[in-house]
Amino acid sequence: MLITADIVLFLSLVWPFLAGAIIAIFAPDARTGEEDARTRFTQLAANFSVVSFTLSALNVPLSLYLSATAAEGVEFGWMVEMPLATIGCLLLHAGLVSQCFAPPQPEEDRALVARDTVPFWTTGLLSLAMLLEEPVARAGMLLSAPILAVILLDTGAGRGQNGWNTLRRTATGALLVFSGFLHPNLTVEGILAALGFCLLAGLFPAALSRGNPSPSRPGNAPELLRAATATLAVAALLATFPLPPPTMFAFRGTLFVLGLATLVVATLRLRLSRAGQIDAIAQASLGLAAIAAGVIHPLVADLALLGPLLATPWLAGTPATSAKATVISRWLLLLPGFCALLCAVTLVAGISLPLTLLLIAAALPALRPVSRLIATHHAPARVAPSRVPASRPNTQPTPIHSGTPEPRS
Amino acid sequence: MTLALALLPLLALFTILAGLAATPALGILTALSIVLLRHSASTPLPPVILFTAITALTVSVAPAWWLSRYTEDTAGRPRIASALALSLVMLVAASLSLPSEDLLQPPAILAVPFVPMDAAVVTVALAVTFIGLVTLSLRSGVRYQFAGLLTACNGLLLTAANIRTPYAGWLIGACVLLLAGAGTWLASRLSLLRMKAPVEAPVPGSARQGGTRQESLVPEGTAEGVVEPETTGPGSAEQGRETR
Repeated sequence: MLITADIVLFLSLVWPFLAGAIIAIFAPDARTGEEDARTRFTQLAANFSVVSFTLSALNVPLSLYLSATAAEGVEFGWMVEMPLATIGCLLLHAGLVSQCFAPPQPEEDRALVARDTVPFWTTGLLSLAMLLEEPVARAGMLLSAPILAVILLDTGAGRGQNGWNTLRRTATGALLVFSGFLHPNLTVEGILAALGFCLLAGLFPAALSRGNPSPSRPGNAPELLRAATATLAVAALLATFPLPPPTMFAFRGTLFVLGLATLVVATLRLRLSRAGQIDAIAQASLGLAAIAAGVIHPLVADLALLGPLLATPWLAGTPATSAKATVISRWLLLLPGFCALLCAVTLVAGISLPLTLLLIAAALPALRPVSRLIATHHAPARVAPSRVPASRPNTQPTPIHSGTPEPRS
Repeated sequence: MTLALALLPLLALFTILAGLAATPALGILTALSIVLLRHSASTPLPPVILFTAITALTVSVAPAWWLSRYTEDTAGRPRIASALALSLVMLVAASLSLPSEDLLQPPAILAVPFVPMDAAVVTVALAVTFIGLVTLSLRSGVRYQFAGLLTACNGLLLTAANIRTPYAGWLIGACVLLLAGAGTWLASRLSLLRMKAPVEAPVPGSARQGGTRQESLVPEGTAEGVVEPETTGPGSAEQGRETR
C-alpha cells in the first residue's frame, strides 16, 4: 500500500509539469494555426487537466488509509503526505480543470501556450508547496509560482506594471514568512509568518489597494487567485501543526484578525460599488478562509476557497459563456462561501460571543448585493441596469453578467 | 558583533536615499558579515556560508550594474520622510523582537526549530530586512523600490546564514536569486522608456519571447508610459503612485 501511495504521489506531482511541457512543445502558433487545430489543442489541455485531477483524487483515499494506519503523516523523502494536504491539492487541480474547460478569454496578444501551459506549471508548484515537509520550503514554492506566472504572462505591452506590483506584494510576503520562520523569538515568529502569508495571499494590507484593476487587460488574475488559494490552504494546514503554544497563538490570532479585516473591506466594497463584484466576492471568500484557518478548521477554509476557484474562470466576462453556465457558476461562487460562513459562525461562537457578533456584522453588508446578484439571473441581464437605485445617478451601471472589474470614475 | 555588522543598518537606511547606488556596498558588507559569522567555529567556511556570501554579492552588484544603464524620472512624490520614519520604527521593533540573550539559553532553545549562531545578528538582519521592505512598499520609483527589495534580500541572506541547519541557507539563497532575477528583468522593462543611451537600445529579453513578443515589440518604447495610462485609467499613470 505504501508503494502504491508513493507511486501515485510521484505521478500526481510530476504530471502537471509533464503535461505543461507537452502542451508547450506541441502547441500550434496562436495566429497562424487554423481554427480547427486550435480547438483540438484546447481539448488536449482539458483532457490533461482531467488526468491530473484524477491522479490527485487518487491520493486522497490513499493518504486517508495511510494516516489511519500510521497515525501521523507519512513521509516520502522531503514530502509528508497528510489527508489535508492531499485535499488541498485536489482543490487546486479542481480549479485547474475548471479553468481548462471554461470558454477562452478573448485575449488577442497572448499565445495559446501561455494560456494553457502556465496553469499546469503553477499548479504543479503549488501542489509541491502543499506537500513539502518544511515550512520554509513551502513558502519558497508559494513564492515561485507567482513569479513564474509574472515572468511568463506579464510580457505584453502595458502589463509590466501589474507584474511589478505582484512581485512587490509576493516578495514582501515571502520575505516576511522566511524571516518569521527563522526567528528565534516564538511570538514574533508566529506574527511575522501569519502576516507574510496574508500578504502572499493578498489579504488585508494588500487588499486595500486593489481598487483600480486594469479592466481591459486581465493579466494573470486566475494565476493570482490560484496562488492566493494555495497560500491560504497551506496556512490553514500549518495552523494544525504541533507548534509551540506562543507561536501557535500569535499565528492563529494574526490570521483571524487579518481575515476579518479583509472580510470587512470586501463586503464594504461589495456594498458601496457595483464594479468588480466578482473580485470582491472572491476576496471575501479568501478572508473567510483566513478566519477559518485562524480557528483551526482547514476543511472549512478549503470549502470557502472552493467557490472562487471553481467559478471565476466562467465569470470572466467572455461572450462565449452561455446564460445557464453563468447562472450555475454564480451559484457555485456563492454557495460554498455561504456554507463556510455558516460553519465559521458556529465555530467562532464556540470561542467567544463578541467575535461572533463581529463576524456577522462584517458579513452583513454583502447580503443585499449578493442576493441581487443571485436574483438577476432570472431576468435577462440587460434588465440589470434598471435595478440601480436612483440615488446614484452618476454611477455607470455595468451589465451584471460581465464579471470583469470596471474602473470607477 | 563586528564593525561590518554594526554598519549594516546604517547603510540600509542610506539606500532609502541613494537607491541602487548604495546596494553594492551593502552587499559587500553583508558578504563580509556572513563570512565572519563562524570565525570561532571549528569549520569556519562550510559550503553553505560560501554560497550565501556569493549570493549576497551577486544579488547586490549585478542588478545595480545592469540597471545603471537605465534611468527613470520619479514622477510621484519621493516619500523619503515617511519611509525613513517607518524604517526607524521598524528598526526599533526589530531590535525589540529578541528581548535578551537569555532566550537562547538551553530551556527555551529546545522549542525553537532553527537555532541561530549569534543572537546579535538576528536583530540586525531583521532590521535590514524590515528597512528594505519599507523601502519596497513606500518609496516611489521602480529603481528605489528595487533597491529596497535587494536590501531585504541581503538581510534575509544574513538571517539564513546565521542558522545552524544548513539547508535554510541553500533554499533561501535560491529563492533570493530567483527574486533578484525576476525583479531585474521587470525593472529594466519598466524603466525602459528613459534609457540613458538610446543608441545601443537593446531590448532585454526580446529574443527569448519568440512569437509572443511580436505584437508587443511595436509599441515597446511607448509601452509603459503612453499606452498604459490610456487603457488603465487614472491612478496607474505614474509608476510609483500605487501603494499597498
